[in-house]
Amino acid sequence: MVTSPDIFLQTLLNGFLIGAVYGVAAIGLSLVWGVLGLVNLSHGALLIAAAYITFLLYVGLGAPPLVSAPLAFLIGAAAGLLFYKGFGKRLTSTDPSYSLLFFFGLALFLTNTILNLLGPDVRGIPWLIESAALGPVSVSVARLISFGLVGVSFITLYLFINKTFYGKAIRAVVANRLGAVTAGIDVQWVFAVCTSIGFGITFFSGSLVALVNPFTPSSGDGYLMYAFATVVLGGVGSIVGAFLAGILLGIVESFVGVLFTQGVSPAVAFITLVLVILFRYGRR
Amino acid sequence: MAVGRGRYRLGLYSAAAVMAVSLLPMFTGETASMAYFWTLLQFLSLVLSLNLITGFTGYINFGHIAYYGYGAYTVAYLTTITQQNPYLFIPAAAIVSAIIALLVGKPLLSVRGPYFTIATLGLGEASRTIIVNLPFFNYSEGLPIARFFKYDAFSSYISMWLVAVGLFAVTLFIKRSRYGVMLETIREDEDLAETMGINTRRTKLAAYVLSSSTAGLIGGLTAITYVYAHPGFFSISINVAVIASLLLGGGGTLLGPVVGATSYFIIADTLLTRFPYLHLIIFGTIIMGISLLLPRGLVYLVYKTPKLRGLFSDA
Amino acid sequence: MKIGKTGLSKAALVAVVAVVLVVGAVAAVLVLSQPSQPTVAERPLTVGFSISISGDFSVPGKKQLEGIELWKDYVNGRGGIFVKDENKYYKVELKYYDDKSSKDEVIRLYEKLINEDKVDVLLSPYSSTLALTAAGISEKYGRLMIVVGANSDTIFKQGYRYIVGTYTPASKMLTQAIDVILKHKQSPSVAIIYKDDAFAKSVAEGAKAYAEQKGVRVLAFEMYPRDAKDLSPILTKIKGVQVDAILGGGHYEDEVLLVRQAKELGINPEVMALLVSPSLPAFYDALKEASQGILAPSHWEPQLKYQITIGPTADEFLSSFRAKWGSDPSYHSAAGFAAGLYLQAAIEKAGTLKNDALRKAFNDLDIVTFYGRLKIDPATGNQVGHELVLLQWQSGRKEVVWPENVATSRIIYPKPSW
Repeated sequence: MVTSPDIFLQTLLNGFLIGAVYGVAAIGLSLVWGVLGLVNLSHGALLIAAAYITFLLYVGLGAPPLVSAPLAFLIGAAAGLLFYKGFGKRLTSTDPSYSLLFFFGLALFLTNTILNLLGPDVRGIPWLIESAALGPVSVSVARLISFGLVGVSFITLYLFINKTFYGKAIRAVVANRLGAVTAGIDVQWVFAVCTSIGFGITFFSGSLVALVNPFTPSSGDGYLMYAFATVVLGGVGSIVGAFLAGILLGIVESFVGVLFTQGVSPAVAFITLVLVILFRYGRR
Repeated sequence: MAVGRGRYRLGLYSAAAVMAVSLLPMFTGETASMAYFWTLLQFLSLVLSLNLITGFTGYINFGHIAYYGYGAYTVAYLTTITQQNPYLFIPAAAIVSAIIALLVGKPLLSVRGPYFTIATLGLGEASRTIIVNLPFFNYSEGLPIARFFKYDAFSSYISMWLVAVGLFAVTLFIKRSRYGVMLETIREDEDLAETMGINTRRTKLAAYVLSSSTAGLIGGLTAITYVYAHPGFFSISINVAVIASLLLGGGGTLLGPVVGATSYFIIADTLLTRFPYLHLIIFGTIIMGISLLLPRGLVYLVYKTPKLRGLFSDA
Repeated sequence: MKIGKTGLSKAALVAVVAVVLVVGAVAAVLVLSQPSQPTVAERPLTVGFSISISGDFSVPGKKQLEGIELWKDYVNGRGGIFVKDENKYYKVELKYYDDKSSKDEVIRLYEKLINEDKVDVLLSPYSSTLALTAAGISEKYGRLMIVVGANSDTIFKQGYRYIVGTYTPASKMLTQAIDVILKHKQSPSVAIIYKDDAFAKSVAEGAKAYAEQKGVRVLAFEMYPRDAKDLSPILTKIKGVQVDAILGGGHYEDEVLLVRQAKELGINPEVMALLVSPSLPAFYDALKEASQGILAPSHWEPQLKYQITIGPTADEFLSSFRAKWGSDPSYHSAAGFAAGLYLQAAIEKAGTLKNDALRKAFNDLDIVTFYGRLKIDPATGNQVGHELVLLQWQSGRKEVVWPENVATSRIIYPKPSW
């Protein structure tokens, strides 16, 4: 029954695959929060905006998500850069409570614009809804492909952050902003690049969401809480942390759902979120 | 300690004016304005209660609404099992919320800034998910209580009015007391406050408990007026609306919640009626505008401008 | 004594005058009591409601609104609704607001509709959760509300005295699917799953009770959370249990995800029956071949022909809907229209706009519209006349497969293996 090895493996695999999506979806949030100190409440809305773009490319041009995902990254990167040029300075110099409010307004704006332009119907990309058998376990082909894409993007990002000069500058700002400035790093430039990459990877993840799940204009909220839990669990500003935390969260959720009931799994995610924050960032 | 001696007490007078005006529907008995004003008073009370923690200490509380929910469920559940008049259980709503706030507040307040905010967000969402899984709270259906008592518009109105007045009184008291100064010091620079010898942990916790228990009170009264308590009480959107109003008006003052709550309320209502399809897009734009252009809230335009500062004070 | 030349006696004269007076009086009474020509009322009859233009329920909400608006055109095109007591025709006007699929908005809006806008009659919002909320408010003020787009049994168990239902109750929604299974299999086993909302839970509980009553083994009865982005945990659990059929669901996004993930996890039940999403074309668009064989109950399909006693035929409804909105109606639209017809029938029967009399009029009303029969249980207001059909996606087309006497195609059983 539930505790058979087949089911155990299936549960593990399921959690792993969805966790990878949670992880990559959280990287953008983590980067912007860690580097600029901005908590982007419109993160979910951005994911869904990218999902819709991918959907339109598929329906309009027949573009498979494999092509749309890198394209989405580029679109996101451009959007991020523009966003920083427009609002970045203002947002980073104001009270954090106001930037929170700003992003909430942005989320409302984005979600409802999509709703009014494209309608409330549920959308899905019926591309590759297939099952592949790996021994006793079934795996979703679409999720497998998305995992591959996640892997590629993660490795690219990791190499960029850890092996390049520019990546070093970013890490310096995350570690100690004042110190980085003293060392001569152009913080404005770092902020702009991080916002760009952050939005870019977020749009990329949104593309993957469209590949594996159906969605509506208001689906973003569901991803937002998981993104926060992942970011906090993995450590704000850490890309590797976000990725690993996502996978851990996915696996835990999967097992809780199979062993107990899926009805309580969001509570598990939220309580994890709260406990991690208290333990990691609390002062005695 | 006399604050604002010799100046026009803008905050105090505005609060008194609002409370006097909102007494009018009671005399006309016109149900339309009673319903409208009740909702305004309820929203104003929520903003006032949030002000006690977020306005005075600067800790943005996204879990405020959870206590509103706890209060509602306390009243509805006790009414359902005892089949007595729900008004009997209003004190219980405040007490239950206070107890939970005491237990949860201590660890929560040990983190600051966005971490506190996100943690409270998690608390709110976790509460909702747990409630929805509980059989004795009727899962996602909630607890309708219409059949246990005879609803009376006047009692529901006067109780909310009294709560609003009470919250104004509490805010006034805090604003004029040394306790209030301690809280505002924490908001301006918590480490400095510690250095000055303020017991920040206890001060913050007291504000948190007070704020949360009043939210519970409001939730309980709302359950009575809506004759229903359901998981929707734990809505993050309401919480954001309350925060937005407080920030719009200006936290840590008496005038701020009045200005913020009434402006927000009127804007939201107008948008809804005039733009049935686009209202949320416009609303989102307005919120973005507010957050970028108003440094600390509308009332500080008055309280910080040199010329006006000599004329007006808050309390 | 004789008077004049005719020689009538005095007595005879008195008799004649008396008869003339009596006849004259009777004639006068008859003439004066003749109803004058009915006139058109100066003010419109306002029907008030909130509907989900944004939020989770915006898809069906929009469809329901379109149906109600079409009814307004229909009834106004015929001169309006006749109210006998006032001898007037009332044109209908709709007063509605976006409730954003939120209970709090519903409460605020219904207080507004009742107290500020002072509408004549209320319709409910779409969805059981919102309708239950609105019913609390309308009941508080003793105002009639026609519940449309909502059918959770809980609504009708509160002892509310001013509500009238139009949908078949939720508890009955999966009974036909169970009948289908029983017809094809001995001693079947099922898994019943549902989203954490009042409606889905109502259906699931009704299905469980019916299944157990019929000797069907319920091997799993599980709830899944609202915003779930991955339903593999609950599906994996079911995979481990091996059932003949999976029944249940919630609304659109989650049901599409269920089908998708069931296929991806290699779960192949003989029957998979959902709750609402297969009624809409978007279901097929999102799933294409994966939709093959999926069943769902429907409150109305365009191919159904009933013996109508009031309102347009299904074809007339279809063509006027397409002409006005440029798209096809769903059962939500049909029900919205039918709710209007139902209200119309009640007003015409009661002859007045007074709430209490109207509600009473529904008790004896038994009509057949293009949407089906409408008749309520006088005690609770729950709909007992209306019947469901079962539909199935076959090669990209939605076919009615049950009951067999109204079926447009034979059922594909078992569901083809994915």
